[in-house]
Amino acid sequence: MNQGFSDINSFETLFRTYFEPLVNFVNSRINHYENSEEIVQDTFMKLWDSRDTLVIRTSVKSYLYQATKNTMIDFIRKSKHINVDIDSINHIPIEGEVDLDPYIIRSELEKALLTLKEKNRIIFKLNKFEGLTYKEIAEHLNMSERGVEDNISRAVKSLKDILKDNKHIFK
Amino acid sequence: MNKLNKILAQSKDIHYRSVDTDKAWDKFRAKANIVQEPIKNTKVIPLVPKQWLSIAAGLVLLLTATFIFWPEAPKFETTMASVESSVIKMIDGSVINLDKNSEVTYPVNYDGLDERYIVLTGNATFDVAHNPNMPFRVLKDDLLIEVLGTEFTLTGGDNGNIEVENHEGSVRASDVNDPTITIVLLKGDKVNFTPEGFVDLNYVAPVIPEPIIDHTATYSLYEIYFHLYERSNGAIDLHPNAKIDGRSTVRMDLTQNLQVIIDSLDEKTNFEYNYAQQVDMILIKKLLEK
Repeated sequence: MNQGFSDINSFETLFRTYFEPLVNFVNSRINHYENSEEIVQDTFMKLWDSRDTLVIRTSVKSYLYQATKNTMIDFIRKSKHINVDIDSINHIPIEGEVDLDPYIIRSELEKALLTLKEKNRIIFKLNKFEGLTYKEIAEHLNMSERGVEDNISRAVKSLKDILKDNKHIFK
Repeated sequence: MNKLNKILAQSKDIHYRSVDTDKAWDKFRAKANIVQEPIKNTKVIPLVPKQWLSIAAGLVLLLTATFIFWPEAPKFETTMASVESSVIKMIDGSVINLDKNSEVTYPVNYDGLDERYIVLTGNATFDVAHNPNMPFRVLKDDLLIEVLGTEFTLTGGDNGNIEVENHEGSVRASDVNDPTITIVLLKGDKVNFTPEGFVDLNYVAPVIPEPIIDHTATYSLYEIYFHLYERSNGAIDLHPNAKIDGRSTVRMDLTQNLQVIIDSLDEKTNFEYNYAQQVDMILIKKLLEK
């Protein structure tokens, strides 16, 4: 095996890196988190079962993306309760993995955010992910707009330090 | 920070929920029966010369164990063509042209194998090296293809059906769930494997020629005259001094066009007429038995 997951510890790293973004990617197609987790679990199980023979000619990320798509299609075909157009999944572009990248980036951001102070993290997420303005956040948290701005500035500075060497974000 | 802002913008618009990855990993380990040993602290014992003999014995044991338990070279490889189609050359010389978005598992080491067993997901064309001692079997879903040496294509057809096209030699295709459902394809044959069995895509329904119906019958000359009169809306009529032997009979086909009937009368009877070009009329002067 030459994929960089020759032992259980490196496989665990792979799992922890890609499980969450893949679940969210699948959920964006089938809109069901529990089934999305099952699909991604099955994908990793196939990868684990074939670890001694599998030759991945692209990147592990590309392989996981494609394998997850295939597992998702199988799951949809077998399930009578999911009404999703398989063609729309088949035609998801592969080049550059544009569909998966935002989920990987978001996952890495979420991990990095966990290292920030809680107040910084909440204010940053309300502004950057929920789209609330400084004024709205200030009213919601009973603080000044300047205080919101300071918190966001500190969060961004910390994130920049944490993520500067992250190969998933700054390729 | 422009780059981070760009990245934030990219991941902002997606619907995202955090997943308990610890729980997911525990679940995965349980399903895969993976036991992860915690890393133990090991005690290092310095070697001393009087232990050399036991070290040597240990080395011999280790070498023997290595020889016995050395993992076998993998027999199968799985290749996925995720971005573009891929050409795989097998060690027996067979070639697999794997289509984009397809995956194939194939032997890379024939030691101990008595067949070349391939598992296909997706579409592929196989150019099989002839080897009567090593049957070449391809499994795709519930369809099993067996060959000795040939070239064929497997593609997922509409509605989940599988299309098999044989380019060279012969192949046997069977339903793995019911071996009685089997078919042998010769060069150029093309079938669709459906839940109901095989459908021959080369079958062309035979063209059944129109039956030739003989409308020839025996008519009296009067019947023939009357037929001509009726069909021509009176444009063919009797001359005031016409001689007609109404009771005489002749075999004719009155379904044919008027000119053919007139030519037949010329041939088979004593037939005379005048043609009035200005009014496009025929006046029969004589219609008698020949």
